[in-house]
Amino acid sequence: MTEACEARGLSRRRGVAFSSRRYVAQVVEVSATANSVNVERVVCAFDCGRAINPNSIVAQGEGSILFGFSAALFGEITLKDGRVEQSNFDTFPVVQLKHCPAIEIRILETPEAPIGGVGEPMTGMIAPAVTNAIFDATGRRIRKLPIVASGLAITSHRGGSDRGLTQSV
Amino acid sequence: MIFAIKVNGTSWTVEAHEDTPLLWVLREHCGLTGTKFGCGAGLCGACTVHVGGTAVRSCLMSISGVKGSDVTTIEGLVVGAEPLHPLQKAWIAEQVPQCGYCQSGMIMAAAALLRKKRQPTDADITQAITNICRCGTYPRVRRAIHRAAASND
Repeated sequence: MTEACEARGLSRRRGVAFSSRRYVAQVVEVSATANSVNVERVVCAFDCGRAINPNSIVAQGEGSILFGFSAALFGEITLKDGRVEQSNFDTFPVVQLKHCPAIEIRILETPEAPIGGVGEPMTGMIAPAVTNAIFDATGRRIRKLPIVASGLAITSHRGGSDRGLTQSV
Repeated sequence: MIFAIKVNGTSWTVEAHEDTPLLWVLREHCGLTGTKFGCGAGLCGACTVHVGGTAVRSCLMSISGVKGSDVTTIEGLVVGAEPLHPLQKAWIAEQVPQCGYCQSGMIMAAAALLRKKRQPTDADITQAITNICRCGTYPRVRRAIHRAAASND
């Protein structure tokens, strides 16, 4: 897989985290040039103990990842004279459909583990996974969020047959 | 001022200031609360309805701007004997909504797209669906639109 990625000019990097008794691992696949990064695909493995409603867990995972992706890419609140400068989606952009990479959620069950929540454990890993992938692809460390503040042009691109669209973030 | 508008096939006479957004006429005068207030600035699409068959952001359209065009809201999306629109069936099949707040607008935007293009490509969907969903249901929105389009065959 790694060789195949390299042959396609892609770079892969892992962000792994442990969250509130739930194990989450995310792998982000990006392609990059010196000044731009294309976030193509996110694969997330998630062990929540016993999986009661797998489809709902996958939905929560998709939403959690996109929420974290939005924060990582754009999320910035600034204060001026004691007031927040952002007031609406024109000054606080959020992820839209055009920004979505392909997302795959894999549920790993541990039925003997305690039942736990699925709504948030998958959110926190996407920023390190994406920034690690950026480092792997460009050699550049993103030390400060949001990522767009770094000056890198970030696009996202859905892999697959008729999914060859690229949108500027 | 007095305005005569037709919403989901029903005629209404409403007394409102000419600058009143269509959104508030629908919600407050007509009691059609399926259409939601989101950002109030045409950015999020939660208030999307059809005016003359075209998707518009009803928070930005004044009642005086409707000018006799038929208005369709989520409550009037289904026409005829079918209980659900193909998009609504696809939405259920794909289990799209999470909190649900944006979904009326999302479905109305999708319905306008399918009216214009029966078999939209991913690129068509990306271009047409600019509604914001903070729950991140976008992957399922895309799948549901494709599913509804396939059911058109």
